[in-house]
Amino acid sequence: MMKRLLYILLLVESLMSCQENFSLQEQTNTQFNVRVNGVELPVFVRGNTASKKILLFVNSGPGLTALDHAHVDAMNFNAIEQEYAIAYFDQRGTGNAQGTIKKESLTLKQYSKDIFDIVKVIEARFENPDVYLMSHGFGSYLSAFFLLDHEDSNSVKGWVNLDGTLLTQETRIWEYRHAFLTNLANEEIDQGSSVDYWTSALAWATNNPTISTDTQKEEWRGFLGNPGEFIIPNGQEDLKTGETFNIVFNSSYNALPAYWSRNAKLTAEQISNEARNTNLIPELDRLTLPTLFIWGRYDEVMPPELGEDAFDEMGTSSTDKYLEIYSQSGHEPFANESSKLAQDVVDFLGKY
Amino acid sequence: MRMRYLVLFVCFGLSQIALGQFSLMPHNIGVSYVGEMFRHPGGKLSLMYNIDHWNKVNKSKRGLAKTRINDITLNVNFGGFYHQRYQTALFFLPEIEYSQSNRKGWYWATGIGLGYMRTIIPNTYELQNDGTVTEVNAGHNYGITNLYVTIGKDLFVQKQGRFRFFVKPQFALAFPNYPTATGYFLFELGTAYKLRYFK
Repeated sequence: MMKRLLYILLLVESLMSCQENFSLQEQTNTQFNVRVNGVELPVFVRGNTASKKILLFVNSGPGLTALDHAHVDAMNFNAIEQEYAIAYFDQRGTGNAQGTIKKESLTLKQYSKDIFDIVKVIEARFENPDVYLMSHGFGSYLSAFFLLDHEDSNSVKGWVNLDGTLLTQETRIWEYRHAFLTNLANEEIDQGSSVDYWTSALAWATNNPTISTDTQKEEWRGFLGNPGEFIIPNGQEDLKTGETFNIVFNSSYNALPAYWSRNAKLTAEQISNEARNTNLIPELDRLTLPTLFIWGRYDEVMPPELGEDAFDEMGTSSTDKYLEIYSQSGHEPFANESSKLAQDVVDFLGKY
Repeated sequence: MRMRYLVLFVCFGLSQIALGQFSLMPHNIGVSYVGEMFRHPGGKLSLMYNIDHWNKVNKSKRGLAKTRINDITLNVNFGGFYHQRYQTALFFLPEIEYSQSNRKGWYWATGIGLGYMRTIIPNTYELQNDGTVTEVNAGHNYGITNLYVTIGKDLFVQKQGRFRFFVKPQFALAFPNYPTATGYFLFELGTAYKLRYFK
């Protein structure tokens, strides 16, 4: 009786779990799961796998999702997918990752292993393509951690770093933000733009060499305004209502655990606690892989001054590392200058 | 310890059946479409046992008698749904339900359930210690609880018909999923057939 029940269950499973297509194609649309330490991480690969180059996208966060945004191309990566493929995944403890995840397993080391295993599964399923990392925000922290953790493995061919968070030391970040305001004010004054306004901003920056109190942070924000208000371009990668409906009702995504769960918040807290007050920039000289850093000139979250320091610190030879500062972008250049970003990424992958 | 409780529970159930106080034959048997987030298809078989039944007569504003038919029901549900690329779920979910009907047979009900769910996760691969990648069977065992409301029409009340029809939206939580639970919205559309009468 139990045997018969088992056969029925296996039959149901085989009927239900339609096999995905892993053949190399120009328009791949494949989803699978990678099990790491008892947790299944969903990976969605879309684009041109026939190129045999796949970008593994490590999204920002921590605690945010990627597959939902990928389903509606909220990050405007379609132009990249015409040339190469992109693999999106939901990180451990977020979105559609499945399994009972132990709190103790939410560590940077485990996230690093998750990325490593996903790379290996991609290689095995897609006939050993070249795999590259592309990361944004805190995803760049995870990527840098992974690269430093696996620096001898040559597991990825290159790294595209979009406005990455590479340090979490508050005092250091505010030093960069201070420099950001100072440099911006000087640029605007040189261009003769709102000279009085920027002169007062510059005076404020001179009188406040360190920014540490909430009042100072508010005043600093007051000079820059919020994205879309004054000088920082609007272009937040927010899902529109139609896109949200599309994800919820017209995709394979289970929206409830992504949008209506404490799990993501708790995961974010756990990872943030471990990453708190650390700085990966001084360690980047250990990395020698080809690298493309793309930074928004008006990224007030992780200012381009930080990006420049990180870029200089990379151990990659000067002929194999590139820094692009986008003149019309904030923290999310894929939202502000998507065509330029796609072209730069395509060109970079074409070289390696 | 768990085994001891299970044995006690089974013994109690068997003794009730043997004593004739509880018949395995349900009062109603139902079949439903269960759509996880509406469109991910599934089905459900429900065995519905009436536990209690009473009528309450109120006076309307015009002084007329207004009868409300109240029921407490135990629903024993077996079902599942298929969410492409995400998971296939099979569940056993007993529910306790309170319902109230009017004289025309329109009724509403609400209830909660607690049961077991097994998920099957498709297309799962794992990196082995020797560096190879293999496809693995993946899935998890969860407890599941749900909360629902039902609106329907029972043809028995007015016309002694044996069918009832209902819609039953519900929220379910599978637990433990780190660190709390994973939510589901299930939309159920079903019919039930009366097999025997509650005395």
